[in-house]
Amino acid sequence: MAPAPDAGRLGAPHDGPDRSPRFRRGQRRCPLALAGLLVTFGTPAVVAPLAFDEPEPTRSADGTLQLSWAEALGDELHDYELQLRHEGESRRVYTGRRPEAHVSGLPDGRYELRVRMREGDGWSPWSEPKVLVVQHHPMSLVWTLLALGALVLTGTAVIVLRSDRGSR
Amino acid sequence: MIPSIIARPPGLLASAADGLLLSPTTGAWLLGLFSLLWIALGLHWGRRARSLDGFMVAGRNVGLALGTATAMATWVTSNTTMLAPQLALELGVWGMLAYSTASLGLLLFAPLARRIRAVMPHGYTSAEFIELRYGRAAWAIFLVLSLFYALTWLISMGMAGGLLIEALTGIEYRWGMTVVLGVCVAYTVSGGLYAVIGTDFLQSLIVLVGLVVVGGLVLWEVSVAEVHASLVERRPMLLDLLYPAALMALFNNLLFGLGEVFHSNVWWSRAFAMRPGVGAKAYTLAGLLWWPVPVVAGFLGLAAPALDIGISRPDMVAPVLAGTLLGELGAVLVFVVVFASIASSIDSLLAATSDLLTKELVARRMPGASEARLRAVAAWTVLGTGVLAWVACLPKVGTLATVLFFAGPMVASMIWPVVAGLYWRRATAAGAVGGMVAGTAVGLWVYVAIGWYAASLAGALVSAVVVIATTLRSRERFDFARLAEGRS
Repeated sequence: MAPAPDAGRLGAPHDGPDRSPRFRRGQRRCPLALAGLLVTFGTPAVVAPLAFDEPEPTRSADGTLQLSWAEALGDELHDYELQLRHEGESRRVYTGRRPEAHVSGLPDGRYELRVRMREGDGWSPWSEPKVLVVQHHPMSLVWTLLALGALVLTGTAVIVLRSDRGSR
Repeated sequence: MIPSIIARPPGLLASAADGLLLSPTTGAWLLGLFSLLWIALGLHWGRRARSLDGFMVAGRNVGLALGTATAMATWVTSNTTMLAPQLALELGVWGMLAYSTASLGLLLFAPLARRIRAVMPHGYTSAEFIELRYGRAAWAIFLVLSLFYALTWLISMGMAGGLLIEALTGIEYRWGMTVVLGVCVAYTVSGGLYAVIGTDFLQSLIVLVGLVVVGGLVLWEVSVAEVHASLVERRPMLLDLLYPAALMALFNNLLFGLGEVFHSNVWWSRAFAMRPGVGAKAYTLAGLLWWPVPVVAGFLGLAAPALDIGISRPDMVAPVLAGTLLGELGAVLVFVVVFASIASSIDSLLAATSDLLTKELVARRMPGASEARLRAVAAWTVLGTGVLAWVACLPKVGTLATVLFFAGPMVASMIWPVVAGLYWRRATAAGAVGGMVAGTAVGLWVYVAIGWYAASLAGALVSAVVVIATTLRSRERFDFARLAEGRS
């Protein structure tokens, strides 16, 4: 994935070294990152919030979700933090340097996820929340598949073992 | 530094300051060292592969220890070391156990291996059996399905090698992939199944020891009680006994594994290669020994949340965990285990797929060719298969793993034609053809309409119904002695 040449940059040209974070998208350009970066003489004063590559609400039938967001360009690696909110409680579900994270093991419910990036001594603002709705498969389908699976496996095992005994 | 082969620092892993578990220089040294080791051992063990039988079926004289090791090592693919932790992380305890049920494929193949060796003492391939038992139509369908699966698996393994080496060391994908494929082709071309089985023995030991060490060190860092408490708080569904997605995947994965082992020439060639009386014991032992491997590997996936390790991609949870906990020593261990597990699968696939191509397609166009000539053709076919896989791997198509999963209904639909053909005199060609075609078609429809977790199950179920129904209505009485006579 080739980085977009000037993606994420905004502001008047300046002479100082540009150490402001620039962003690379997994799928789309990031309008918030593009519009929000303010650069003052080489020191990032305000860092725009990150944005998820797929900000639309997502439904999950297995309680898992793979997320990605805009990546800061340049040689420097940044720390990211992903937060999960559910029924008024928030907790951190990912910290790391990759602009993607994997969430799993979630029960039925409505969740909100937001991400931010460490910049210098502080953090960028939180991203707009992404909504995840988890609704697991109905147990009626589960029991049906389990019963059919047990039938096929047992049938195969019985035929193989009985036939083997008979053929010896 | 070796800048020409180093990818842009990908920052794939969060644990190391530069985003990699190992430096490219260390990675290159390890890659070179183990490449030389595998090639040297392959050449050493393969020096007896002078005849066609030696090259393709290791002289039909493989004993219990090597037979067990090669069956186990081939089943310990990079899927086991990477996908078992991923399944545990995504589907919890059920996911971990679901993966380990793939050992049933080896256990139930044990009686089949005895039967195969008894009814086809001079056989070479699974497709040869299908043709002798059911005729050309069934043979053609079986060959298409089997080659599709084998080549897809081979290509996905080659890609996995390149991707994992890049992720662990920063060595560019195409170089890592080329080295892994090249090393396996080199010793398989020269030593055939002798070389494959010999290297498998050592590779299976490395994988087992590596996993036990990593698993033990993880338990040293975090107790089972802490893992449990962390999962209850952060990922409660992973411990839920009624986790719908995990329960739905249980039998599907199992039947996928069963179909893969029952039809694939990878396993049939080993059944032909083992000396009489060894096959059943070797496959039983391999199944029993393999069973804990995904459990140990899967535990790594469950332990990751307790250690507060950021997981960016679920398939990288094991390397990230080992590298984070154990530092460079752990990273070296992971690299060696991954290289061994990928090589043990690629060499087996190369040998078995080229056997299929040589015997079923190339040799048929060379009637009257001497054994020496066919031996040379088999070696060239290994090389050609390797080149084909390399070309297919080069574009780094990320969807191949999905394609491999797509093959689930295809392999599951071959379970019953194989079982019935081996044991039932009344099993018919129409049943075999109908079972494979209907099982594949319905399974693929279920894959699209319902989901992957039911596709292999549907393929196996429909195929079973067709094969059993046609057999019950049949008046055929197949003479199994015809299998021993071969195609000549």
